[in-house]
Amino acid sequence: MTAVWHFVRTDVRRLRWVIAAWLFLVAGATIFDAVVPFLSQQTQIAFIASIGLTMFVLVATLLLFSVLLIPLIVQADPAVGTDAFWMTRPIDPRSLWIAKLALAGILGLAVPVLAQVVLLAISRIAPLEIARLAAESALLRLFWIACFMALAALTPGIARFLLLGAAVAVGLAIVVNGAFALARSAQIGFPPVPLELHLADPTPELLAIAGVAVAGLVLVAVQYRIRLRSRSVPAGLLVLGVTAGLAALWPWNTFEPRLTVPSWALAPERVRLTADPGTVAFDDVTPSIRSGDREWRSATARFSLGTMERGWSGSVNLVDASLSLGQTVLQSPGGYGGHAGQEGRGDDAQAVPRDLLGVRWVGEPFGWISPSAGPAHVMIVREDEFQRHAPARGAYHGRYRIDLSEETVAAVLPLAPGASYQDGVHRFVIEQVTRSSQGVVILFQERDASSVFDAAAGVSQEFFLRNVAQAEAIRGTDYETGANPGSALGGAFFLYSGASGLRNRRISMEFQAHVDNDSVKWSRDPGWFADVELVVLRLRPAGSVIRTLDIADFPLQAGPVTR
Amino acid sequence: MAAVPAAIETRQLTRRFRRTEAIRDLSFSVPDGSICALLGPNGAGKTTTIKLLMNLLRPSDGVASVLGRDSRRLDAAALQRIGYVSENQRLPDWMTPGQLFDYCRPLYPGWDPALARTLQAMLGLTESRPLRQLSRGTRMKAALLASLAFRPALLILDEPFTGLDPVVRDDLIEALLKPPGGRPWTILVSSHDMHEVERLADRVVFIEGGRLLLEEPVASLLARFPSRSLRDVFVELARGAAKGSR
Repeated sequence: MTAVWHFVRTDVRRLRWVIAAWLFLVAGATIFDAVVPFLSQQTQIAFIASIGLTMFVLVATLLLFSVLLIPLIVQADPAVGTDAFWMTRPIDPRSLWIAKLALAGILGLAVPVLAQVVLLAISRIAPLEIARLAAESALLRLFWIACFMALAALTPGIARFLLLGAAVAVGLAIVVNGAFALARSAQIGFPPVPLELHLADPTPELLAIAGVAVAGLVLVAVQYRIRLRSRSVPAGLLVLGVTAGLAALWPWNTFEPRLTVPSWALAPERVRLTADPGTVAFDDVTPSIRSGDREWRSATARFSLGTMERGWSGSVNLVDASLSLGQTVLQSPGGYGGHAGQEGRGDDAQAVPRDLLGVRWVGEPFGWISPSAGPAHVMIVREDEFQRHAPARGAYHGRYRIDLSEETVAAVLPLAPGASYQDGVHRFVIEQVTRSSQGVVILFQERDASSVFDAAAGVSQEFFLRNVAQAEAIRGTDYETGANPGSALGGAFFLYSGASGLRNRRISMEFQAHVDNDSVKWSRDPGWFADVELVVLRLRPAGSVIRTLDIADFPLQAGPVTR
Repeated sequence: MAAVPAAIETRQLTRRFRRTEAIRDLSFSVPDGSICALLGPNGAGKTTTIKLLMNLLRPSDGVASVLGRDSRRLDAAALQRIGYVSENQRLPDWMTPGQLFDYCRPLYPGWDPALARTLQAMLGLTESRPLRQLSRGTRMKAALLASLAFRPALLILDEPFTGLDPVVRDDLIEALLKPPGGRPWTILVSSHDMHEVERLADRVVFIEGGRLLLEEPVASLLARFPSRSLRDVFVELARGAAKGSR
């Protein structure tokens, strides 16, 4: 331990100016992240405009330091070559490796994560969420530190480090693109995508990230000990292979978002899937990605999900299906989904928000959401099979995943500056309300934080202006505005602020008074907006149930069915 | 009469770099307490031999024993007894000489602060600037002090005098030969400088093209070639070897 401390102190003394600059940059970026979102928009714009060049230099320098700090630490005592001073001194390679890892960990991981924790605490994020965000950030930083340490341990200087890093990046890009190109070449015209029956589980990815980190550190340890790249690289690759295998075979979905299907939805009669055979329609041949005969046809139909609880809706996703035509059975892959209506509410996509808002009409911006939802996929067949058997009728059996979601009224706010809404770590405050003949624009501050370790599905919000007297509402559209630290500091700045998990944003939300396009046309005068309130609906995914659908007389024929 | 134990012993030591044999079947020994000069023309394999002895390179064949230990297994404990100075070594040149000694001191249980102070005064190492700003001679002095202050059992020097002025050479040789408290170390020194070797060494190992040509005490060698200097003997041997290889 004494030896490790001795080597750490030596490196700190050697790199004292670099370390001082790094600490200054991290502190500066943290202060910037903490302060800028809370400036008024005008002050923010003036601030950014006045120090724009300084900010650019700050970002560029911080990025440069993020990449170069690790090789500066490692290559002070290079692990390659035969002329390094330490190699002829009574220095235990393990102590040196631990010292390098400790310093790289303190500067590249502990300091930025500590800054992140301070930033999150200032932003009043709950301690548990801070712990999760810090853990996620630490894992990502450890990944980069291990990668950079491995590259640095295999090279004698910064120039070679950068060259090797570029070569590895190019090599990876070629391999990934090659694999993608191979996969595409084998892909079929209308690619059926296998439908996952579970939500995406980030556990394998997290294990893979940890595995790369461990492999990198093993490579560095072996290189310091044996000083032969012909041994250290295979050792690193071996560990990488083992951890990749472990990640692929990992049986526990530790960080899979936990969704609880409500008990009422488990009853088959409550989420009862039906489709009207009269609405089945096979579309035209979908053009093939490649030239050739691998083309597909898909059939759609209008679905209904029976009667669900208030605020609940579901989307149908085809898992697989079969169509029996006498001796022949056509198999359909799944992967495509769509909206399903509800009994008593029709297939109206606005039914749920309209019901929750207690209004008769909801104005959609730009006419984006059609009041009448489209059909969903019911079958996908190969074109040659379709040509061979159509027209025909047969017994259809399909399996579907119904994704349930619950929408609730999260808040009803007066349309005035200072009104705020908070749901867990998600919080927004209205800063400014601007009314014009074109409608209303609300400027608000939004703060949110989420980590992959939350093991929770994303909750989203929808915003409406509601005119109670007229029983009408208009949906808002939002876009990011102002100088948000994340974008101001550069999207590529993933090594530092990209991993903070904190989103402090200024959002501008527009509620249009007029929509006039080919499909939708409506208009409301300024008086409509005089007495409105802001209603926030929260949309929460609530798991999935599997349902089957049988249609005895399923039509296999081009175009809509004629009876 | 009992045989003098060898501080260094090599047997059929061979090192290949791809198809090139830099060292071939090299067998020699350096008796304990001796000062042995490793001689040979440029490219003879002197530096490669020393790197093999210091475990900076691994032998392709054969073995080398250093202070009774296989050179491939020289660990920290063994290196606490070996001093090494090389013109090729990358010193931590951001350090001042004082910082270099402070860095080395905890690594060696046998570090003798009094000896270090005496050598510092003897070599005139009073600079407080980083090593990279100092002359080559001063850097070599600092490297030598950092390799002597723990009173090593073995000192391995790779071309330590190259490019140094005579005054500095005299300082270095004096520090090597006449340290306070007497000389406890065996020395293996590779050099081109025959004059200094003649002053310094009591034994020579002559290699050419990676092969051993001669291994002999200096006195015996000079007795065989009377009225010749070591330099003349060296030139004659080197030319003879070149003719032989043709």
